Amino acid sequence: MSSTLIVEKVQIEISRPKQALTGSKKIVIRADFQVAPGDRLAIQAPSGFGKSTLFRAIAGFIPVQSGRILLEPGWDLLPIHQRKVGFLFQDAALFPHLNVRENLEYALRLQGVGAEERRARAEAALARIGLKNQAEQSTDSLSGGERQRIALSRTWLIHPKLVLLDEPFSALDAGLQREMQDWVVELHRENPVPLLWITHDSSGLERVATRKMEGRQVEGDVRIFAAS
Amino acid sequence: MKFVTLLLALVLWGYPLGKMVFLGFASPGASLLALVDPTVLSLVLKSLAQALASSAIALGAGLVLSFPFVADPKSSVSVGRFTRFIFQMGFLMAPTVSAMAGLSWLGSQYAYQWSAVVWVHAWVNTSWVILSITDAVAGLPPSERQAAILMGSGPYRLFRYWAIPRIRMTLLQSFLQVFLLCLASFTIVALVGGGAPVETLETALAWKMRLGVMDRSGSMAIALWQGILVLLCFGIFSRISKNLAEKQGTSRPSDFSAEGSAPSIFRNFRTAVTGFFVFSWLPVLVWVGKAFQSTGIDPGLAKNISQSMAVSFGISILSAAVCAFFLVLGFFAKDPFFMSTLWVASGVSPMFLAMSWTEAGLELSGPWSVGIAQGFLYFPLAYRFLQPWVQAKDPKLIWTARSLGASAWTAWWDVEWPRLRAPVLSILAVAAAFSWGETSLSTWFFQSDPVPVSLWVSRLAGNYRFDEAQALSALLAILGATASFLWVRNARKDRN
Repeated sequence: MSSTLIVEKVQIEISRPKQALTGSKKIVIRADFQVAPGDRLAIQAPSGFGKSTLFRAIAGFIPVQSGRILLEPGWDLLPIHQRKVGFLFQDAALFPHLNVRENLEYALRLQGVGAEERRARAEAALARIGLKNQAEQSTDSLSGGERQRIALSRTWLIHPKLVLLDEPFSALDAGLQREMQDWVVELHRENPVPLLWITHDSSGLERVATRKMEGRQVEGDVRIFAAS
Repeated sequence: MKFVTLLLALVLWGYPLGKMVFLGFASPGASLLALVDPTVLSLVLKSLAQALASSAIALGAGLVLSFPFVADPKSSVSVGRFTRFIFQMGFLMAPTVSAMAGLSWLGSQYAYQWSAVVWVHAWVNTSWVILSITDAVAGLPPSERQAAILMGSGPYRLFRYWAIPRIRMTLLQSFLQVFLLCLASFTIVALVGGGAPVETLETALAWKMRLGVMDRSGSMAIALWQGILVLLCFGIFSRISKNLAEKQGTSRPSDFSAEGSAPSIFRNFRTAVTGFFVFSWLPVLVWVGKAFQSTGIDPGLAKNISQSMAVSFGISILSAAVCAFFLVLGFFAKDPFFMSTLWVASGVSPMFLAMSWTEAGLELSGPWSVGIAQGFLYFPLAYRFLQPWVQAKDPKLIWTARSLGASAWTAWWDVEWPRLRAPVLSILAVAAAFSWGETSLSTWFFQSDPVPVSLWVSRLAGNYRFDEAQALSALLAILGATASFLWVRNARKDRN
């Protein structure tokens, strides 16, 4: 049973280089919203606004200055690797030293799944995404769409409690984007956890998202993500 | 971790070097005036002139000879595996072997002169400079080269107005590296120079420390001058590199990308340059051949050789292990104080470091001491070599592994280590190769037989027993070639 993601009065401060490349400026990101299981929240804001930074804070990769991010009691105290966050990046982040099948099996190995079951589940996942014949290939030989299919499949293999999609479709053509978006909806219906999706355009918004949130800029460099 | 690094820094260089300074200048009878002694000052000037001339010739020749590799608009600038193997030989070959090969070419009428030392230094370093230049250009975005060609650059203009300005930092680093190697060179100066009057700071230091009554004050003055020159060199380098970094973007590590090669006049030039360096190692090939052909080796001599080989082998393993230990400390501790050992180990004469350990009461001798000292001295080079790889990590891969369930250590081991394995193994092979050819530390720490092979060769050559020295050198030559082969092989794995 999954729980609601609570992002409560969170404040993150980061330094960014100035445009003139002399020194840096401080940016403050404030976030306050909730995402229920089964919800797919689309987050929209211009480039460089701090959307990816917010995702990294939610996953636990960077600290927050104040506020709390909770999925269930004590979740924020868990080490990152025990939080079961499915994180999908724009560039798929496939491990270059592992082949296609090994990339999928790696996620299962980290979950303590035995060798035989790993193999079987990876094969099933490959069959589902139509890449069974490329199982032993290097990930370098794959197209952008194929790479994202593997990454998406890998994200769901661990049965995540929360899914964060950081513009994973923006580098794909329109046809592939639609295909991937349908995949996300299908996988999410099977495992309805809170899902957050960063997107910088509106294509597919209605197909994927159940809710939408736009970033707002106030008081100079303070950026706000809050449910309206 | 910080306590361990602090303790190591104190034991390895803080206390020993501090005590040496005290003994050299503060003890009764010693004087700071030794620093401005005319003999010492003359040595400083001669050493500087030798290192400057050697590095200037190596850089100039390297630039000219790299032209056919870099300028051909139709071909890749990345050199082939065989060429890389040959070009690395000068860097990886034991100095005793390089020195004797140099002597073979120069002949008796040119040997034992300053010019001979300069030419041998320039020869062993030129191919390395060419490799640095071609790798740096191969690491530049191909689109820049294509844009320059589309804008009308022919081979010369491409080389002069695109390649050279884009790799100024690499040229500076290459010059610095060759300069420091020539300044600290011991074996080549001793063997090719034949002792006095061809004397540099490093060989004079050995002279003052080993023969007759030890001259603490004099050796201290020489060691200090050497340290000053090295620090000065680093200071000038960091100043210039800062200016350069502000003017141009930094080059990313070489990706060895190939654009495919086309038949052209440049291919012939490239073959000629590679052929020249193959040809220059010819005497060594002859020694290897002779060593394999020789029959009826005296059983006593065979036993001595195998014992000597075992000593060298043990030292090289220890040296690589110590180097690896320091690398782990360096990259994980991230302690600025410990990082300062980079500068200390780069600026201290190996022999002076060895002497300071003895004076500090560490009571070291034999293979253990040599291995530990070598690992400590090779660590800065290994650290600098690995730094671009370590810095080029993709945090997203680590984050992905972590979010999939990997602990920090598991994520490093599963994601980072496969990427770093080849360069780490390469640099440890290089450390082992350096160890096989090192003589100055062995000279200090070995008082009895069996001694390492390189020291034995050095002694034989010093006694004008060249035939025996050459036969033994064949062993070192094979090891140098093996290290070069391993490096090329690992580089290939890395880019796969």
